[in-house]
Amino acid sequence: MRVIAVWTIKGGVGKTAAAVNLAYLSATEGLRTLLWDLDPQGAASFYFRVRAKVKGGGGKLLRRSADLRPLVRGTDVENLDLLPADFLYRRLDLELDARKDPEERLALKLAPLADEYDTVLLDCAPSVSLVSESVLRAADVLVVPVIPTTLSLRGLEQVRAFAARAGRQSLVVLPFLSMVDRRKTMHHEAVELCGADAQFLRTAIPMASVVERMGVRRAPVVAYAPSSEAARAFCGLWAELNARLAGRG
Amino acid sequence: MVPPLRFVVVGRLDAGRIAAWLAPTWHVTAGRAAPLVQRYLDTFDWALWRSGGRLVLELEGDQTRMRWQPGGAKPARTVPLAQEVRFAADLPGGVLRREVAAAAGLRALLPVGEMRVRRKLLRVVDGEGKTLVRLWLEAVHPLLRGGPAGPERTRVRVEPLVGYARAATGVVARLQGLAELAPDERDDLADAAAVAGRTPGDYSSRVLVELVPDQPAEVAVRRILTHLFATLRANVEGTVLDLDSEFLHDLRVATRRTRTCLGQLRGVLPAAKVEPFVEEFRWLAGLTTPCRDLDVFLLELQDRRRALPASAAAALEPLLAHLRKTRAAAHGELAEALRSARFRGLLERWGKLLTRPARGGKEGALPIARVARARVLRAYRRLVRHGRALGPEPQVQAMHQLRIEGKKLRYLLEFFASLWEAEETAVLVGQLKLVQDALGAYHDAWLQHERLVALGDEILAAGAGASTLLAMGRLIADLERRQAREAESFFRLFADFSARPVRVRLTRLVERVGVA
Repeated sequence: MRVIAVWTIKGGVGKTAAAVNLAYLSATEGLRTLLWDLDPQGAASFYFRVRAKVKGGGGKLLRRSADLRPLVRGTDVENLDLLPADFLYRRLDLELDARKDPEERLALKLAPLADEYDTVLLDCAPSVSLVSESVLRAADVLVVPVIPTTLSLRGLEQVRAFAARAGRQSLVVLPFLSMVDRRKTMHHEAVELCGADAQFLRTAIPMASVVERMGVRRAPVVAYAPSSEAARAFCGLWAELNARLAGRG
Repeated sequence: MVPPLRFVVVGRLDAGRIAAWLAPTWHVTAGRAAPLVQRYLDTFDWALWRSGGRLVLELEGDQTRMRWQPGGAKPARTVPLAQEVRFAADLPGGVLRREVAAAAGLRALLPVGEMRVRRKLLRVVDGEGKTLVRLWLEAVHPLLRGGPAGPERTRVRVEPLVGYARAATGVVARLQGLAELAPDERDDLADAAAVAGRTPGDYSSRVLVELVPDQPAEVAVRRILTHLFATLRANVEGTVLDLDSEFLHDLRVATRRTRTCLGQLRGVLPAAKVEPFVEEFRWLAGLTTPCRDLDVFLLELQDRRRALPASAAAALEPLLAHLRKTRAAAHGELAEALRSARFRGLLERWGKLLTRPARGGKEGALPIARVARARVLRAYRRLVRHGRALGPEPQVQAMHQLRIEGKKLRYLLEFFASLWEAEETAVLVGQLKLVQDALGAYHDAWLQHERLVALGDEILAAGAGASTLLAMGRLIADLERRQAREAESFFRLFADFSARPVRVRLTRLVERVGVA
């Protein structure tokens, strides 16, 4: 089971769009996939039309004895299950803090699912918190969407520093450019700048209205507009991510 | 999760009628009808079916996918396929491959039946348009050589989604009230296989013969031999076609069991009639040895290679290539022999002898329980005597001979298992198996060691480099360590098996006949 966290400090950078599309691509490849919507806003749950409600909220779910399986919902996509969000997740930090080994808690919760899923995608809320720390401990790969702006690039540096402190030695950090508008000079320059960073995935996700329509279509863009530039970019991103991870086990 | 449920359509029923029946509680959206072919795959010994799973290759338009429905209430796993799949290892990596491989082991995934399906998807959705339950309205028709065979059936299949069990239960309860539907208990795999002349579970390599203690020994032994003959014949085609390594293994075991039966139960069958076959089955056993030894060696090396880092694994490739070539030649000779007039003649004459009533040997009229008891205890005593005669140092030939003695005892216990208390028999066979496994591993390590030492020059001549020789050197050292480890393990296990408690248990077992 490979755990991929999609996370960054900054919000509104296309994080959920990436998590949802990557989860869809993993599932359609035949990999048993679980998308865990950890963001209290519940956008990933909304895209898959699953009610953002978890019985007992985050507190019950984090109990050592609690099994995640009864909370899992099958999506309309074969091989893709979803662990929905709950608005109560906004208090997940406090819930974690009240428990022993809070940083290890998410990894502990996911361990029993190792035989049932090939890929777990964690769609995380944009913040620096105990939840983020627990996510970094649970993840094998951290995928970081970065929009080509100064603040977003600064956010990446903060993520790297935080990941180095909180994450495991083996954590692979893979940033990629998101919401790129090549008509903007600043975006153009940032793309070139990031091109020199070997850690960056080469595929950039364009700013496109077809991606924004995910909220209307309530489906991944790769499902309803597979030949669009954005969908092809998500496919490229998934392929590149797999190529980078090949041989790492 | 609610297990999938099916209903057979007993009248006229279309998607509109189903949607209307489920309304207003449930909203149903219907898709378009689509045809597909479902090819059921299983191992020759039905390992997937025995695990409770179903593996189906689905051909729909230009798409090919593999669908695995594991046993229990787990959801189906599907994977798109871009290449032909013969073994579980050929499947794309993931949960599906892991689960299929765990059930199928080394065996090939062979087609056992085919269905043509015309189906329409009806989705039961909530107010958000989220699917809660999938209903498939489908007409299924078994196929034989691509053409329809047997009657077509129409049914409704309920496919629950993970986390929506309540909806599935509600939909099923409502459908149960629809007059055009009746519960469908049929198994598609069984229906598809029946057309191809197979029944799930129709083959097992185990000795499954029900004997009665008072039965004349000649009748009982003839039944055992008939069963072994069927097993042997069932594996000839798969061995010749080289479908997987286990056909040869099972053919070889059936041959060895037959030889044990003839040798250990001498006097039960008419000696003059049986004697010519002793030599023929020895010939057959000898034929199978070179190819099987190479199969074992290759499987062992392939396992070992998987555990190595990439560079070391690559160094073993020339050795593997050389062994594969040698193995292909050995298989060619074996296949030729299995197509020969001598082999065909053996099958024909042996089959006739088993079916034709004949007078038994001098012990033929004795009750089988008495004969079985005497033979088992004699084989045990011989095994113990020979094992104790071994010195403290391992000796290859003597231990190999002991392994053969062990096999004879094990086969006798398996032949007559139905006469004795099942659990106790299984315990004793299990203990004997541990001794045999240690002896087998010891002998395989020795054989592979000798083969590797002898192969050095051949491998060099075949163009292999120093890295291959070094890798072979490491293997040789490993095999030496393994031989020592297995010998130690054997002496420990044999000490237990030859001790008084086992002798007492075995004696009690074979003397208390007829205890179910």
